Amino acid sequence: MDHPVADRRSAGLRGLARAHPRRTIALAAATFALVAAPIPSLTWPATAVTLGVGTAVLFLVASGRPARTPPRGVAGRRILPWLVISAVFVLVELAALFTGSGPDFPTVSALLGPVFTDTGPRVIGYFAWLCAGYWLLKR
Amino acid sequence: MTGRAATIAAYLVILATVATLELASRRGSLRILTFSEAIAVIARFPVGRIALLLLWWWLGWHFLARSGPAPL
Repeated sequence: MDHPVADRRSAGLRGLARAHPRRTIALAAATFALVAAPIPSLTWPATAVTLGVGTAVLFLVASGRPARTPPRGVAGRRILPWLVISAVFVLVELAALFTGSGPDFPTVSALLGPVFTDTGPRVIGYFAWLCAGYWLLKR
Repeated sequence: MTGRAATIAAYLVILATVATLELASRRGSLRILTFSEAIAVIARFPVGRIALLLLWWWLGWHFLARSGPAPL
């Protein structure tokens, strides 16, 4: 005899993850961020954490998970504005980088980098980074 | 205006342009892709997908593992 309610409960966390993948990823990313953020920047553990996440993503890409969203339509010239604004940003960044990224002509890294030395912004940074990674894997 | 203020203004103009492009694409007032669609187009190509994932990983490593205090 089937017990749909009992079956649903017994599916446990895996079933919940399948039913609400975004919420599950957000919860996992938040938990990871809370654990990883207190690890200070400019240390080997911090590098190891990012390397670990990168390796995990490599395995996911190789195994074809998560399922990718099918692309819609044709790009053509409709992608052009994004390429132009990206090129402008890269040019400004490179100009700042090659002039030494001093106080008068800082790169984005020089402006935002110091923000990510405090735990609070690091929690937000890790959370946003992991969610962006999942979003990118789905493309 | 100092060089620093001008540089920050340039980054803000780029950010505002990105926001405007996204809004215009979503409202359909310009015949352009949304940011998400543009990324999906690049990710269609294996080289593009790998480049995007490498860029994503580098951003995380750079800001979360290699950020130091502001120079005095």
